[in-house]
Amino acid sequence: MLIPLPSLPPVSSDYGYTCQCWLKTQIDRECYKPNPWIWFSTTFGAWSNVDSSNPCWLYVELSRIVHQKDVGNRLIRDLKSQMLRSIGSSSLLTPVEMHTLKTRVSTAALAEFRAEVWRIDLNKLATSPLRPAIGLSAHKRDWQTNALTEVAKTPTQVLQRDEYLIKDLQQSGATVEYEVIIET
Amino acid sequence: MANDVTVKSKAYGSLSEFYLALWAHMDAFSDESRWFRASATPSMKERIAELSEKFHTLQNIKLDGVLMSSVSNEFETTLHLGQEFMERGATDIALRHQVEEWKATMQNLGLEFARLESVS
Repeated sequence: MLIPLPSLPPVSSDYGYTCQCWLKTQIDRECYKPNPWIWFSTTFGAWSNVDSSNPCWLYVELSRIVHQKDVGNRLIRDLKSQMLRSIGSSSLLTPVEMHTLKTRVSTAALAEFRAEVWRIDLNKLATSPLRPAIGLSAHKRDWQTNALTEVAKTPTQVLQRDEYLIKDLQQSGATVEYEVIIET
Repeated sequence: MANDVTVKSKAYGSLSEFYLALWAHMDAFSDESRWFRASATPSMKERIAELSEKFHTLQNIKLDGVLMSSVSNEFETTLHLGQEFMERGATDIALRHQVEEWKATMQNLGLEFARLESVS
């Protein structure tokens, strides 16, 4: 007798996925209050993108680096450099705060680079009173346009197939708009 | 003594900012760190203006002559490599490798001066 299995359901593209570094999230929140920009894709394993725009690859790599204490890894140096640049160019910090945060980054333990995978419910974002009621498809187009606009500033960069940029994701307070689904 | 420490710390801080700006200028050409950027990437013109400003800051600090000569060379080389990369980066593999190595060197210097700033 044949066992009826359901047919393969389509994968939802109504969620956004991104990989963030714990320390960098804290620094970005001080440097770019209230909402640092977040890059995301609509699949966790965004293998059609280059590695650096694939949350799955970023997570595996950063998680491995932290667990194996790979201190000199390029990803760690890139994250540190980016954080120091953010601190140095922030208009929200006093010189003393800058010095304190830079020292914090320069002396940070590797464990503080912990990888976090965030999931963003795009339907919730699209229906939030914080944004115009234009529907999810239109919002997605806007988030893709944000990404394209940034990428187009440098002709040598290439927009990836599954790549979006959100500039107003609420990341603290009463209306946090993401959930951490993996942290190690 | 305390004043000397402050002057040293400031010089290390300015050197770190300069070298990290050189790194960021080159890094902006690639896709690699895009997802780490939490704000707008400055245009090429803006980045060069920032580099020039940071270079002048170092000139005003009156660093040791050998160090300043090295800073000046690295500034010029970065601008030159950036321009070349814009023109031939898509097709010239050797140039891409050269740029990657240069980027890593500028980044290492930036991070090392940041470390020195934090302990001085």
